[in-house]
Amino acid sequence: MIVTAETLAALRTHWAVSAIGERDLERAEQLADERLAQENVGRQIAFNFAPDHGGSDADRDDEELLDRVALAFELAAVEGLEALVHRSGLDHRLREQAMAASHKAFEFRRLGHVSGGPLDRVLFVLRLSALAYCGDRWPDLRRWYAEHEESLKAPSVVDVPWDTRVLYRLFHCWVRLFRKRGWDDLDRVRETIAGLRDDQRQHEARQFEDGSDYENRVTALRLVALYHWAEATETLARYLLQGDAVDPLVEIDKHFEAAIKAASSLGDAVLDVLLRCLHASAHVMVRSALWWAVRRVNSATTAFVRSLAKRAQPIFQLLPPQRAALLEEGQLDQAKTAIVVDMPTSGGKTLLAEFRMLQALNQFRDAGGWVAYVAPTRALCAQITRRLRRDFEPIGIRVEQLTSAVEVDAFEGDLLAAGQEAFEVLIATPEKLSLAIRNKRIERPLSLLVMDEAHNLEAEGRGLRIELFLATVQRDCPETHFLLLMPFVEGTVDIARWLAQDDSAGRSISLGTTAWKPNERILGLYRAAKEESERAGWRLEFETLTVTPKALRLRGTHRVNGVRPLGVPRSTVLQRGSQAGLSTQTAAMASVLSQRGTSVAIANRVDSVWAMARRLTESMPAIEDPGSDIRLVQDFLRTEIADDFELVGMLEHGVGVHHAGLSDETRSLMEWLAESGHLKVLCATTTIAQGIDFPVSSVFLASRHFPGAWGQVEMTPREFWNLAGRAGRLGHDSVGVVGLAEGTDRAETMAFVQKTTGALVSRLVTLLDELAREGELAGLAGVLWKDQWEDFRCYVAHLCAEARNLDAVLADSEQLLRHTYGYATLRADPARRQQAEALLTATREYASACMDKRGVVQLADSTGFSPEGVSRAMGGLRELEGRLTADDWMPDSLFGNEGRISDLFGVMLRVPQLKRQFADAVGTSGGQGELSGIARDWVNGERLREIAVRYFGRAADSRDTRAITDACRTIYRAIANGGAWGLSALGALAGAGEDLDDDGRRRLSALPAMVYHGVRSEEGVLMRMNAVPRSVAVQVGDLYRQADGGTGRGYTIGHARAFLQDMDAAAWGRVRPADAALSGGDYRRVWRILSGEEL
Amino acid sequence: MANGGEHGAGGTVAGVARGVVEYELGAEPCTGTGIRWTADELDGALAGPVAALLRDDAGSMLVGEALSPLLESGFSITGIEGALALEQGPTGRLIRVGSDGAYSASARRVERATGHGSLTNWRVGEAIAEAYLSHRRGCFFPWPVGRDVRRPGSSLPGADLVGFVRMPDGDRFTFGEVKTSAQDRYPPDVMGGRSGLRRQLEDLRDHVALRDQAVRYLAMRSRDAGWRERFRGAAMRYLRDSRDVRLYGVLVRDAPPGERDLQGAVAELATGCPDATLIALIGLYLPDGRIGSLADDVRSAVRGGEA
Repeated sequence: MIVTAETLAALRTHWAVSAIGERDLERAEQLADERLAQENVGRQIAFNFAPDHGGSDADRDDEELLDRVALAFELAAVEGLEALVHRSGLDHRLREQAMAASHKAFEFRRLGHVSGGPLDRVLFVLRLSALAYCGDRWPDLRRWYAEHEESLKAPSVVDVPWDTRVLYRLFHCWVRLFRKRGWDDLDRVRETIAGLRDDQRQHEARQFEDGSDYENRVTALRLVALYHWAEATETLARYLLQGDAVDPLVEIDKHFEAAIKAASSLGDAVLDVLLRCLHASAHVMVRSALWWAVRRVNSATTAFVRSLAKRAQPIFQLLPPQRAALLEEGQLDQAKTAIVVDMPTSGGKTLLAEFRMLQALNQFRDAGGWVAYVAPTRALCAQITRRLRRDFEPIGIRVEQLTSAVEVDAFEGDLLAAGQEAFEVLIATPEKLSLAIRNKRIERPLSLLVMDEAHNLEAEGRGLRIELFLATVQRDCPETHFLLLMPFVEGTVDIARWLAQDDSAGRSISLGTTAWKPNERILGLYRAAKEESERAGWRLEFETLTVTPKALRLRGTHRVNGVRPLGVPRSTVLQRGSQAGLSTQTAAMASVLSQRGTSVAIANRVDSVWAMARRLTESMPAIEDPGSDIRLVQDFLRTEIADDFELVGMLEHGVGVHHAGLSDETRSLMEWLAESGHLKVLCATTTIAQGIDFPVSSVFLASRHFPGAWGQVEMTPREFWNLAGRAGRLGHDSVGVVGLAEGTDRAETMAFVQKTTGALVSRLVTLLDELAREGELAGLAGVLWKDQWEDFRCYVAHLCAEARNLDAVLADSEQLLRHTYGYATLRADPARRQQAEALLTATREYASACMDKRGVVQLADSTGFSPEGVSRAMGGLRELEGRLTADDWMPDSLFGNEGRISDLFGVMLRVPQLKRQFADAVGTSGGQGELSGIARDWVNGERLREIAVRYFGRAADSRDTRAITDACRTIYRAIANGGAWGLSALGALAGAGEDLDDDGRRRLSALPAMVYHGVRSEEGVLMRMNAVPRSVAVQVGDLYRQADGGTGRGYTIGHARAFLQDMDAAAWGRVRPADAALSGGDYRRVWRILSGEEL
Repeated sequence: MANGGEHGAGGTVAGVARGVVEYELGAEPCTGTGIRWTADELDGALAGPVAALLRDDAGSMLVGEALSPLLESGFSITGIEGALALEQGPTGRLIRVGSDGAYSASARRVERATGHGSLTNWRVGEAIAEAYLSHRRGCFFPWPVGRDVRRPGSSLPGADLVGFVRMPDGDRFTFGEVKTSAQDRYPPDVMGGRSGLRRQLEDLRDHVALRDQAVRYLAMRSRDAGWRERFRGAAMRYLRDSRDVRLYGVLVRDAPPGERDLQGAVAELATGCPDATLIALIGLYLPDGRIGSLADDVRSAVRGGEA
């Protein structure tokens, strides 16, 4: 059970809540929001909430109102408290009421001041904590704890009577139980209770000696209650630590019930109420415990939970959405073959996925089953690999990651072909896994496919590809179960049914509308305003928006601290009264709010991002002691890019940069620094929306547009809220701040924020809708040749490649289409049958055409090119002067001075899919000569700086920042992706391996990976696959070769990783380049961070 | 517990006399009234409603059930057994002190052994006040609260009496504080000082947290109670205006009536009293020298009743 918007709404008709009156209730909610904002952001933004009525009387009235409202919710909570400790379903409504009411009561009570004597404080904290637990707000409580450390200290027990001493010690225990900061917290509880038993004899007798008969009877009854409470406390702590009882609630209930009976006999209203609240909290705590979730699950899952509880930063309990998904929504129901989870950002979906993964592995272990985890970007793949390795390797589950290169390289091929010992979980991008599955590279059964950020299904660029990938898996791996994770998607049940291909086997778990959120959010527009107090003065205004329930309801326009922020003159941000310099305004906002924690400043162009970072660096003071983590990243950049790379100096001021013009490693390290709070501001492009998976304090956007393939594209509301959801760190900030630059299109920006997220729409449907609008539906077969249909053509080609004959293809066409979400949607809607028919006809036509060129189609299927791309590439190869010999394909000759790499790039540029990738090569002519030159230098180990200067240098670019950015974009996006894929495909099309022996074939197959990773040895590739920095990869590879005996036969990705794990700092030191800024120890640490060994 | 009716024949309703009004002070929102009881009136109350209240007191101390699970715990229960004067029954189990509000044979045995539990004169004084307010002022106290629940470390001790009072326009919460004094000073010491009656009423008047605490408790108890609707009525009124309550301060003493007892308190409590809050101070004057023997008198009354 979880608090939902519906249960909260129902609460408003409760007699106690309605007694307050709607107007007062709204006023109180507004006040609560305002206070939360003021308390958390008041030092950065001078809030100016227009009061309804003024003066100190108004303040007193406000206090009184907040108290009354809190009490109303408490009374509603109290009514249902008993239902919370009942397990039968009879009191369902009351349980919902108790949870929702506690949720709200906490919202108001947390604003209260802790006053009075030590006992008042103890009672306040315990009652507030109980409300938080019963209302599923324990993450909020943790933050309250962090902000009120003083209130948590157990009062002194010197000279206090024994019963009071017991109470204070129990307070000490419950603060730890509620907080659960680590193993120690829970362990201390047991210690404390044991200590009480030891102290009892001495202190109890003394109190009885001092008291009258009457007093002693009262004391005795109170002690009965307290001792029971202590017993229950100990049971609870032991269970949370060890999960040793199947049902600890039997014991806990027994003691709490006895304690309540004693308190009630005593007529001690305060103790009675408190015990009942804590009893209910204990129930919530047990039912949220990881142990509880797995009490009837297989042993692998139990081992997993044990390892989570034992690690340095242990996890003892599930977040409310996790608990709801696992325990109440049937996420572990084995009969469900497709589950779609819509969960708020930061709801902890990875852990949920892990449970389902363990279950799938267990279920299909005998058959050698494996699990695929698909994430949309390289950065997310790397991040999830680190997480899964950390979580799974302690329990002996092997996790491997495929590179994001489209083609499967030799080492990856070996990995995929190997047995269960090689991997049980595989992480990849959809494109990569799609090719591996189509080519049947893995013989073992795919038990479960987990797709993260699955809302990308509707993305313009690759949505269709992802949808067709899922369709391919359904078709080629009929045994596979699916788990799709996405935020802010309504109506996911259709997706679940589509994937399950069976209404009863699909389950949609929608937690997007739950009241739970990792933290509150302030949303607003910011703008520059004239400030007359200073020459050329200006300041920032922040207008809080109330247009969406996803943010605090705050009214008004507020002044952001500081005049002439960043030292920029007014003319930069205000031109003839109009808003200008939006990225400067954004940087200024981020700078002010960075006092609270890391801010992200987002612009839509790479040069704007650099400009923001420069302005911030100039105006923010250097960090006094940047610490070893920042130093490490600086030295990494010096070594890998250039000694004077501009980002090195920026880091000195706590400013980081994140965009496509940086290597994956650099971006990973920026994320690492941001996540650990070392950065004050991270300047990024809009594309970070698709990759950011770490929380920050605030997010500011200069623009809500992405640079798309066909111009600027507005983010979808889902993308925006996913990004906004990162503002506020779970466990750190009570409030995250999200701002958009107002710019000159205020109305449009307001409208954007108000847009609802809605259901997912298949790209296939969108494309057909567009055609229908243009009246071109009938001519679909003719349109199918256009670029946006390329993925669809590849999908049909796959069917043709595998079909026996044309009749079989025609017969299977509809089934093939039924596997797609788009077609399934169209078929289900009578009004859209026409579109479905048009698609089927066009598919059959295209399939017939494909069957006339089976050879091409099969090559297309194996290379990932479309059939048209294959034809063009083959034409290009035929037209080359002089046939390519086997020798030409060997790395030494291909990348040597006389190598024919340039010819091959010429061919690649004729293939539409590759040509689009090369369009990312910026700042160059994009011609084959330049591209091949860059590829050659890259493989030959030239440093980035040299490549940048050689191909992208400009006189005006004094520090080569722009050249380095352009070089990175060209290399990491165009060369590494297009170039590597192209080489792999051309090698296959040219039959390059046919005349080679095994050794030659192996070297040939390493070729694309060399381009991808920028090294020129097989061992270097293997090291790069394992996250070794490029500057030392070849040298470490040499060391690995020596260790392996030089045959190359024992090379595997896993083996290489084991070798690296054993390498100590001295060994790294021996191979480091003499001029590297990184020491051996530094190299080792960077490697540990990038590979996920250190988080 | 009986709910009070008003004005019986001869000024006595179910054993609680109206008494003679000796003086009246102040005006709403804060008033003071001096009431004198004769020896007969007092004896009638002690034998009737007061004894009943105190019997209920003992009956509520159901402790055997709560204590026995502790036998298996790591805590020792020897000291507690001693303090509660519990005996081992024939089955080796602990005998309850009282059961379900009825005087069971075993409970009686315990009572006698310890001399009516540990009944004190001031506890009887409190019961007299409770009986008076219930029968004469339309109050209803559904649950005995605050049986000398000392709270070291708290600036806000709980109220002695918590319940509802019926008024023409519906129920309100009422909170009462009681002081019993055998002193002959005017006013007696229990009126002043940190834990005096005046200060306690001030706390109840000014500290919403103190009132909220009692309301939460009643809410918890109200779920299946016969008085649930009365609670809701009072709670809704309270939630609309948490000052809309009635406070009673009762001084029980055995000296001749004197206005000076309440004069100061009435004046001070009227200052800054919110319009919605009504405060009534009552001086209940018992016959001379009776405070010191109240507990014994109740015991005699109970024995007389049993015989």
